[in-house]
Amino acid sequence: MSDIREKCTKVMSKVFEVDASRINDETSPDSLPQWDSLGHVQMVLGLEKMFSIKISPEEGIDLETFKMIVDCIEKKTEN
Amino acid sequence: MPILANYPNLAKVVSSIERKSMFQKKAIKKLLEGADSNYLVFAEDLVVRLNKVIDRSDSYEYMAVAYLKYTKSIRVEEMYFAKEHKYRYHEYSDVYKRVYSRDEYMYDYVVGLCMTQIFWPNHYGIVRFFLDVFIPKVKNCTVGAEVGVGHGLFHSELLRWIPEMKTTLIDISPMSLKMTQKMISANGIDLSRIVAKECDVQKQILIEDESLDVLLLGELIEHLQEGEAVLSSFANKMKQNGYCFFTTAINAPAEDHILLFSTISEIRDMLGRSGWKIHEEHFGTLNGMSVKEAEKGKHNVNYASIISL
Repeated sequence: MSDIREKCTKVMSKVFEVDASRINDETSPDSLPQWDSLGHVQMVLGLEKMFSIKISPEEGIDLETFKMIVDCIEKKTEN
Repeated sequence: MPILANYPNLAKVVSSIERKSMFQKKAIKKLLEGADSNYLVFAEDLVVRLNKVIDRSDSYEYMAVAYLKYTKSIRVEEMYFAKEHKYRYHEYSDVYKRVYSRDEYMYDYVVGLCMTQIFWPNHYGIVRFFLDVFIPKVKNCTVGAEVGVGHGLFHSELLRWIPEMKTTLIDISPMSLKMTQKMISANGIDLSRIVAKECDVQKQILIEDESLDVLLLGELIEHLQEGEAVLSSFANKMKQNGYCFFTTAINAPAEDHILLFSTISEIRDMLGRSGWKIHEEHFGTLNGMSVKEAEKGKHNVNYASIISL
């Protein structure tokens, strides 16, 4: 697993209190009962802290799958 | 969804929302699991009435889209608030320009907001407090007003349950005034019972002093720059034995909220300074947390109270 994927998994696992093994590309609020809108905010804040990046509110609310999250982080950390 | 079998109009809106949003699908499922018949009857009735108000061939789809547009705007501001610990906008002129001055935008906004009375447990809780506690208290009153009529649900219910009541509608948005009048008509109520006045209550209040038995100030104060001054001014408009139904919220980011309350005490203090006495209160928190937990974690609490001089 890439470093980014591993760190994203760590953040989500902590915020949603689920085992990392339950998180994969298709993981979404649909497949993870614990993923609600309140937790979503905490997840975005956690990702910002983990990667020392800024995710705008408009970007943040659209991150609705694990794959989208990883793609976003990869783009933001490219440079 | 079997629970909605007897509520076909509500079912159509729910189905449309669920197709479009994973978060809302989950939230509505949880809501309906705990729903009683009072809620389902209310929700169905409101969808039917709103259908008459909107009067479009795709009205259920439109209600769903408007609701999701509104909730998306809230989620964006919630994200901002979580990072910055303040509301994004502070000047009334900014929110007037962004929201109230745009008729088409306001239309979507008030329809979306109306839908939250069905789909947000805290907002429905306030509706119940209004219907079950406030209305019985003022059932013999005859002169009322509402400032910030919005979608018209509360005003239309006031007139529906108190047949002798005549009222004044006040709003800065001509679109809100129109929608409220349609909502009142959709309840089968004669519009001769109301007078509609378009004005900014921060500049002038077109109501006589000591004239009101009943005043509705729902979700108004957090939208105003001069909130406390407006509250004081409206205290002068009440009869001595009149009652006001007042609602606001703490830690409630929205694209047109400018006055931030961080604790319930701040709300109570402002009411006290403005000349009001609190009789009864109602609180709605998220995920069953206590008010104290919500204040500590800077989470939303919806607040309603019955106040008087």
